[in-house]
Amino acid sequence: MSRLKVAVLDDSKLLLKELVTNLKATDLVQVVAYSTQSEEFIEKVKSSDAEALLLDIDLAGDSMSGLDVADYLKMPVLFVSGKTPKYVHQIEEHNYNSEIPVDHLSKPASLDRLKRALPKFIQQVEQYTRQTSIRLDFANSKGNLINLDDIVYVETEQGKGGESGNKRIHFRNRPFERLIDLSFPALERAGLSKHKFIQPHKSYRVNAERILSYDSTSHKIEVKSHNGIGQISVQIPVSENYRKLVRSNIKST
Amino acid sequence: MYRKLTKERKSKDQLSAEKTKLETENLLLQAKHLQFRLQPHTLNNVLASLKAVASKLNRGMDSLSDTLDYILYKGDEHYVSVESELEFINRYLDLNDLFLTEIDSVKLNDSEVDKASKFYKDQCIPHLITAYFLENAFKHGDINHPEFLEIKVLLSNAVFEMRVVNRIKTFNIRAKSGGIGQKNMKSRLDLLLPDRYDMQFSCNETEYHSMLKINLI
Repeated sequence: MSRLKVAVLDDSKLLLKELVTNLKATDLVQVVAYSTQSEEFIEKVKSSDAEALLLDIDLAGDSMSGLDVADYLKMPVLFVSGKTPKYVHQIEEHNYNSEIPVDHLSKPASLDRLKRALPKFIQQVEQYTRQTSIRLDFANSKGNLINLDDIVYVETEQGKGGESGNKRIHFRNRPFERLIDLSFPALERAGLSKHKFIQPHKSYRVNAERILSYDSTSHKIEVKSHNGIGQISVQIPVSENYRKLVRSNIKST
Repeated sequence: MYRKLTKERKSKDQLSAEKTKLETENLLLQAKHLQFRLQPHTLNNVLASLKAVASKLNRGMDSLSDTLDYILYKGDEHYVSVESELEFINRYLDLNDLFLTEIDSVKLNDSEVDKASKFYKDQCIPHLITAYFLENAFKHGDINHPEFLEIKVLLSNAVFEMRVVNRIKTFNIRAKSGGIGQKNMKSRLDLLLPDRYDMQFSCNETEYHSMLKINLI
């Protein structure tokens, strides 16, 4: 099995380098992105195929804290901080509000301690990313257990005068359903993992495995979803900001 | 009446003097208090950094000890295997990485080393023949550059090859002809492998390139 791909954030370059060196030495994970600064970190994570984050919490001189970064990225996270006791309540909050794995390790994360803490965290992340189903409330039926593989894409519903808070979820084997007042972050917390579902546009999340092709001139991706009678072809726009990410997920045609 | 008034004024003056005194004392106390109100967590950060430095030091001593072992005790044999020399390169890079601030600024690519080749384990290349290239890169290279050093080692069809590219500080373009280290290495190669090697050095404004190629038969 390939090693878990992680991204590392620490405001101190010395400690960041030490952590990256130690992580490599464990041979349990692969470091695919790192930074000392939250904004740059988020950019790097978005354009990488990281599956989990290792975050310092207190980032000196930064506009965000590690907790903010975790809230924003909605990915499995291992907090590595010298002040875990101070933040333990916030870490717990973060943990209870979501299906996404959260763990913490106090600094300094020596090689020995990483070797002891990582296997369990990796196992949690793998269970989460291998999660095959999600429980969702539709407009007229609650608590439906849905196979993630069957979801083709989710789009924001257009309401009067712009986008509404509702979503439409499209499947490969049944007609679409409506999700009332559910945000994409809430969907991600429920288990629509960022790893499987990519964002080609702010109003869409698409199952990466269901993408048939990407037209790099019209900047649209093609998927097939069920309309109640049979499968129909659907073109989904790819915004400029997300093109690089989409291209890295699929082969251009 | 007048006496009463003066008395009251006196006590008022006294009170106001006492008030000023107390206020001053209060300010001094506040200053004293603030003087020692260090943020304890900043010391915690210092502690974390110190531990990182200590662990670097530990790794440094391990790498140095391995490097010294290789230099001192393998030296008698003149020739070593490609495997051993590669191990030396790795240790030497680990050791020097401790002094670099950037992460991953040193890249070693040994993907084209044929580990099944008989020369991988045979004693076929001069001991420490790669050292000059490594030393040179760390001595004259721009070690703080995020892509400071790239080393590629190849072994295939009885040819050993090493290519080194290191960034240089633009103002540091010096004589292209090498110093005493290069002369010594060339003399060693002439003695041990006459007519079986090739060595090239070149440099542009930002990079220094060096190459060593040895025919193993």
